[in-house]
Amino acid sequence: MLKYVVRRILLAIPLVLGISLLVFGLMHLAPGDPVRMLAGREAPQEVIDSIRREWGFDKPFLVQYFTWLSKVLRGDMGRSVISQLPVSYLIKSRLPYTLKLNFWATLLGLAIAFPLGVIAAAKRQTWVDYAASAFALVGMSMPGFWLALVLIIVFAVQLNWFPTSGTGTWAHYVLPTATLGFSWAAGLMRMVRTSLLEVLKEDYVRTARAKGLREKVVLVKHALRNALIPIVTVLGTWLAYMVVGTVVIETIFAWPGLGRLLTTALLQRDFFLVQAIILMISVAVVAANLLVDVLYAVIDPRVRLS
Amino acid sequence: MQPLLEVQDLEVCFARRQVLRRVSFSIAPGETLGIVGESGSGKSVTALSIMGLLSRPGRVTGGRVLWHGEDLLQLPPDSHRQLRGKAMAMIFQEPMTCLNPVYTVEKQISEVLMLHRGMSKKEAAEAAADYLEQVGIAEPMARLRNYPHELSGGMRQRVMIAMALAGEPELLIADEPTTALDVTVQAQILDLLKQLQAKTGMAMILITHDLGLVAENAERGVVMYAGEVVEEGSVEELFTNPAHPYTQGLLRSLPRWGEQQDMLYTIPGTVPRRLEGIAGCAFAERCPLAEERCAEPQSMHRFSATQAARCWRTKDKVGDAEWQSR
Repeated sequence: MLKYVVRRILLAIPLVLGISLLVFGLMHLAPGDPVRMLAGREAPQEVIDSIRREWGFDKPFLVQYFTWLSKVLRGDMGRSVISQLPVSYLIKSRLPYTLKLNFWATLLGLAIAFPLGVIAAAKRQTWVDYAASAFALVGMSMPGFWLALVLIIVFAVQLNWFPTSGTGTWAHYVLPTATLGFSWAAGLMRMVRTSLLEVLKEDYVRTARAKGLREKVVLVKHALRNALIPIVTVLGTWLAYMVVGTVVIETIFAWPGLGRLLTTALLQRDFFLVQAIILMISVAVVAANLLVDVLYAVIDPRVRLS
Repeated sequence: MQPLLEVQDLEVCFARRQVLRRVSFSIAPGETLGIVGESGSGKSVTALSIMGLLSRPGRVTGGRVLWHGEDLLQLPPDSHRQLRGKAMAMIFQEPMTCLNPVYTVEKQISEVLMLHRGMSKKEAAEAAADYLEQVGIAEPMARLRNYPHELSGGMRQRVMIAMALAGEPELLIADEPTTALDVTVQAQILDLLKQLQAKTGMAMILITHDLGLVAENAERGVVMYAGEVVEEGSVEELFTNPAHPYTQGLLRSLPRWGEQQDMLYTIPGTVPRRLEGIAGCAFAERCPLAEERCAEPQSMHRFSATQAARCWRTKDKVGDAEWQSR
């Protein structure tokens, strides 16, 4: 088990390096000279040249990359072109908000998707199943931003139960968490249902029933654990999807997280900030997938061997 | 003596398609009954109906399954469930897929012991090791910690048997228990079953397509064809004096030791796909001896204390006075 985890971590390292190279390269391909942004439109050529030298932009691409990488590894991600604040400081101040939002949304998503998916599979082709499937269809068809706006109109503007934006109290969490959690739950619920139905056809489920176990035990202990294997494998993809969703939702609810920091930075062509956030998100997705791989091994003993 | 289990006129449909009709047989405590038939003849469906494990779209549409005289089909599902694994246990054809891949052997056997015999986790672990030893698994303590994928097919079937024994059942239904195994392992498993049966006194229904297995292991046999019982009798009767043309055909298609045969005998034709529209004998269209009256429904014609067949010719053979229909 430990060997498996260590190997997974070792395998993730080249992946992260590859991503960092890609992010760095893409930023250089993107239009707009960061040095001119940094120096300002009216700056004389000498100033531009000196900044270019100072930031290392005059060096060959690979040299620039490794200089940047070694700085990043030491926690120095440069400064924001706009606010002149260190990028690491900006990220540190925003990250907790994104994490908190995602944590509650994930929790809500799981809390809806699993019970609903299990019940739908157990009561297949009854009104319970149809209702759950209808919920999933509606949930998956609604774009997150649209759901967010509807929730704002109904619960914030008309009923005045929750604030439209900002942070502070628990009430601020309700609408963004609900938006993210629901759209996530819909897809996940369908997966739980499908995967469980597939497993319920298996011979070992019949064995479990032949033992005289209660249907609840058969479902949760014998079937669901096996159904988790395909669910967990795609969970990694879902996490990436959630990151994208977060960017949109944070913007709508003026949530001071990484997503909104990214959209602002993109609009302002805040070169180093964009670079750092994209890198962070990419690494987060890799880390999440790593976690999924480990979970995978925890659930399925056959994975630990290979 | 009251039979342990008595199946009376059992009918099963899958959606609207009938797959089992008027299936009747009984089994006494401690007895071994073989059920023989081709795939699709309804052997497994019969077993699953007894266990209450028929899954949708299959459902029992008629008949009775009497367990110590009590109709299991009338029991509330939860009462039937409580009998499963305890009063009656079942092992299946595919040992490779019948064990849950994510739980250890210990957990899967202990589960039965804790559920039906009220053991604590620790007691159950010890008892589980004991059962593994009984089914001939070496180093039971080490095997308890194994996952199914770490065991061979034969080992897994032994674990399945240990699991079935753990509830101390009065009846063990073995549905093609050796079909998926190597020939050498097959013999070992059957010997083991016989030996365990002698020790525990449980009755056994051995479901197989292999007449040889019935001859070697069972006392009585039931021959099924297209969802019906066509003949039943003691093993000796079935093999020396088969009454139904289908049983006769099955016996003729067995290869014989020491006999020069260029071609094995085969029964011409295939099993009918649909029973609807066949009022009489389902075997008639393949039967070399079929007559006009075979299209009419008939019941089992009994001509000895143990032997009966669903064929008009049987009735003629024994004469009107001797046969009783049921």
